[in-house]
Amino acid sequence: MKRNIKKISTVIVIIAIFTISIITIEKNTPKIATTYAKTSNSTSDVQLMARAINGEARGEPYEGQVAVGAVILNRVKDSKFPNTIAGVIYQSGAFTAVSDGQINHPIAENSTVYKAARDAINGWDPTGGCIYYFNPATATSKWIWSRPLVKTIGKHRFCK
Amino acid sequence: MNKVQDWIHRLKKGHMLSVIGVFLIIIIALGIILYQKEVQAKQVSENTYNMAFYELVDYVENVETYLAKSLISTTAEQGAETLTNVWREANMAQTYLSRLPIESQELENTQKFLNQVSDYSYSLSRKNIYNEDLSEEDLKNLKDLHNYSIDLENTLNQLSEDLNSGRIKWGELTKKGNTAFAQQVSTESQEGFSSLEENFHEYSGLIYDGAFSEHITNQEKKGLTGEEIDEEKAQEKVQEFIGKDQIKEISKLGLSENATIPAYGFTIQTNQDETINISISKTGGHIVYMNHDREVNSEIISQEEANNKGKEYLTQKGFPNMKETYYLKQEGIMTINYAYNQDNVVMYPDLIKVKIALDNGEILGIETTGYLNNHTQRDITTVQITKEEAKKTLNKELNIQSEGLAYIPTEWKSEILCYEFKGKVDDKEFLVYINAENGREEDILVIKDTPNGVLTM
Repeated sequence: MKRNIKKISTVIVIIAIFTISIITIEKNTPKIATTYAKTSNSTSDVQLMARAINGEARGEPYEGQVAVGAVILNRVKDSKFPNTIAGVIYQSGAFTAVSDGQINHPIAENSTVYKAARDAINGWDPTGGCIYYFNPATATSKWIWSRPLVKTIGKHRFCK
Repeated sequence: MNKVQDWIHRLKKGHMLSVIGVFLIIIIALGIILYQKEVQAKQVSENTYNMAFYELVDYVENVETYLAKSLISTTAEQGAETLTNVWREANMAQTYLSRLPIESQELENTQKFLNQVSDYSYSLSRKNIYNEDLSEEDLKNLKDLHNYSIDLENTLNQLSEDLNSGRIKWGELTKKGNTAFAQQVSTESQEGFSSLEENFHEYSGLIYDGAFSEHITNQEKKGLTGEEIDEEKAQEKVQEFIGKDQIKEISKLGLSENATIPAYGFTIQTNQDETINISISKTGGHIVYMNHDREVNSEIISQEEANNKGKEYLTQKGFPNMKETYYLKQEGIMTINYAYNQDNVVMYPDLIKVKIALDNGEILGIETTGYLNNHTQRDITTVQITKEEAKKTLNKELNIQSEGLAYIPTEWKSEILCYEFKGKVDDKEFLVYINAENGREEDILVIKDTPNGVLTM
């Protein structure tokens, strides 16, 4: 009987682990973030850009956040990319934060990403006209290293 | 074998077999649900990609047809209509192209081709509207573009067959997060799409009056005057700009030679332990931008005070005669646009933006690329028509409140001397720009007065 109890408990533990893992998988499937903009006049573009910056560079210094926004806007103006902010952000394979759902990560209460998005939209461009950036620690594409480097901000290398 | 039987026997005794059975069923059921969800999600993305692809093929076919028509059209009206169609169809094609699951850099030139076809035909359609004939060069360009569009159309049709026969699978192009199967993926799908790009190996781009014209990136920077300076000199400029007494620590980030305006970057720790980023141009040591982020919790300064503080700051930093145009207020920070003023003519291209904290009036940022790209003394004697003549072009409903001369920037980085009329129709405010050389109505802007700022759309 003692042995049986042992077995029962092992089986229960295994099943519990399995159910919990299924629940976490379900939970981790991206959901639209429900954080709202702090100011009422935030256009949808600022919000979308802030979410993209949050997904791509929330741990970066402020200048690095503005820089990511600036790259998005430089792409909008470039003939080699789509012509709208949403088009650029959601272009297939363009940003990892979009592919892996990080773009829907909730924006923290004291986050600077809204300010960074607005600075970028207002014309601040720390990258000097870049249309690419990558993190050397995680970049898998060799091609990206062939682009002319402009500068490094935080963990990202910005290039043309 | 005995062991297993023994085990089952013991389980039976404790009714464990049925319990395990129930759990097994639950696990299998959950597995099936998850699998079905996965299949569903795959189907949804498959459908989206197919739709984008077939839309792309249709729009490219239309581009080809309308380009062919534009080549033989002889009247300005027909020309304008056909070219407007090229513009629209190419723009849609470009939109759908970017939805295909292919790394953006692999279709760069195809994207550029569609963007330029669209933009170029728009610019030509405007020529037609003004009854200007298309030049020999325009026609040659259209012909080249038409040939490229035929190649693109053919490649797309080939890809369409490959898709239908299953030689190309969207799933193979989107292999994200599926590293376990990555080795088995054939490269066939990838190669299929690179043939699209091969069509444009020799496509060198177009120069014309439009936003995506080739010459824009290499345009001359009129305001970037002076001798080249080294990093030491740039650092001195920074100290002078921020004020030596404010700086606790200054770190050099080096020269960004490949930036649109080559510049030295610096990060400053202030005495209050705040971070300021600043960039000084290599040519002439001009400030390119300064940015300082801090929390602003109260709004004490009025808009007018902020305007004046910004103007004072600009004069002090060597930018006199700047006039505020628009402003935006966000989270206690006001961003004001200033344009250069020469003999009461507003030079909108010579744009400087200043960020002001509304708690104590501190300047939090400045951005001068518009000014550095465009600033120069203009010759205003090119005015050909009088203000009264220009007024005749205006809508009779427009209740004029102010009028003046202004240079306005075009999308292709040139500028036009215009009469600027600010007026109201009903309760809506407008800015109307009439070309001062030929009387054309160049632009109409709607002024939006929101609680957080004045915007023009």
